[in-house]
Amino acid sequence: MKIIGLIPAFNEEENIVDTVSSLLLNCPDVDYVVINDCSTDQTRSILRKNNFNYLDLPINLGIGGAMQTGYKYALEHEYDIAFQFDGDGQHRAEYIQDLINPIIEGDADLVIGSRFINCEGYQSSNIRRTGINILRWTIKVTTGVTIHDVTSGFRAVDKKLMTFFAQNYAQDYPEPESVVAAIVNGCKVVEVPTEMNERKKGKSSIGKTKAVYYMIKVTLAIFFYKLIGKK
Amino acid sequence: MSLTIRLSLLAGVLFYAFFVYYFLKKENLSLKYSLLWIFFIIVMLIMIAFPQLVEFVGQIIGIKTPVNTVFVMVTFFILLILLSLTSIISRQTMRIRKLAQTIAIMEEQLRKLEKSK
Repeated sequence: MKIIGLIPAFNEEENIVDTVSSLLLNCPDVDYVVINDCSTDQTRSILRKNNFNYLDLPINLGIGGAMQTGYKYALEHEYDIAFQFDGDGQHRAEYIQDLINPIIEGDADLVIGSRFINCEGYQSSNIRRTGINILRWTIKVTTGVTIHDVTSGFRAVDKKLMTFFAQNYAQDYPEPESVVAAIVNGCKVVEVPTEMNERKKGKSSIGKTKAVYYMIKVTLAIFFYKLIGKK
Repeated sequence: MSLTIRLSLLAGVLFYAFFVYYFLKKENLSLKYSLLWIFFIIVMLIMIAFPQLVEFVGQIIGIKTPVNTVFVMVTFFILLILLSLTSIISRQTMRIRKLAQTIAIMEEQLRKLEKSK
């Protein structure tokens, strides 16, 4: 089975080398591709200097468009499994095997690495957890499925969902929306326990004012996906 | 509606029509996107030519002063045009995204090809 890690990176000059090396160290058998979302810092030259495998977006598309580029790349190169692995060092490479096992065994189409099953490692701030709880409840009400960590970007998909995401992938803040899209389209979603790190350096993409917009937009989007149904 | 209002409205509409024509001629406006504007101008001209029609429409939707009916219809058209603009922007955003993604994937291929030379 061909497996690829998709690493989105926007201004991650301080984290990207560590991220890729930890991936290579823990999973020497998988391929990877860094998607540089038109970073304004040194990310691109670092990628080139280290001879990493990377895609270079000519304009900034945001995390959704960047991830979709990765899925398109994975599809074009005929990978069987693709997993997302953040470029900021939040995700831990030692859990990648756990993440892709359910797909290899055919138990899932989408596997989400969840912080809130064993509740170990970095648990995010109080306010963020409240937001995540609201989203979890919204998804539970609309789809009947409980996803503990809906905002987790640490996830693996099979070929079926890779094809779907290459065609339709939520923009802006895609994590909760893409889970709902997967469920609505009849995919089996499984969560596995993981730990995450607090991001090492640099800023999160979601600040305080953006958080309000995030919650409104994502909640609306979830209802919208439920409404328009299967694609 | 008084003659004064009708004449001022006519002046306004002709002013609009001139701009639409001007932009079309300069090819700053594609015919496809000008259709809504042209339709808007035609409706306005009809309203100016037949004020009884405005009064009739006003009675149906419950507006006493005919000129208010004109305002409501203008607002309705503006909203319609705005919505169509948002829709055009959304479609273009999607197309630009697709282009950027294709470029990124092709650029990577090209880089690999050049390296293997």
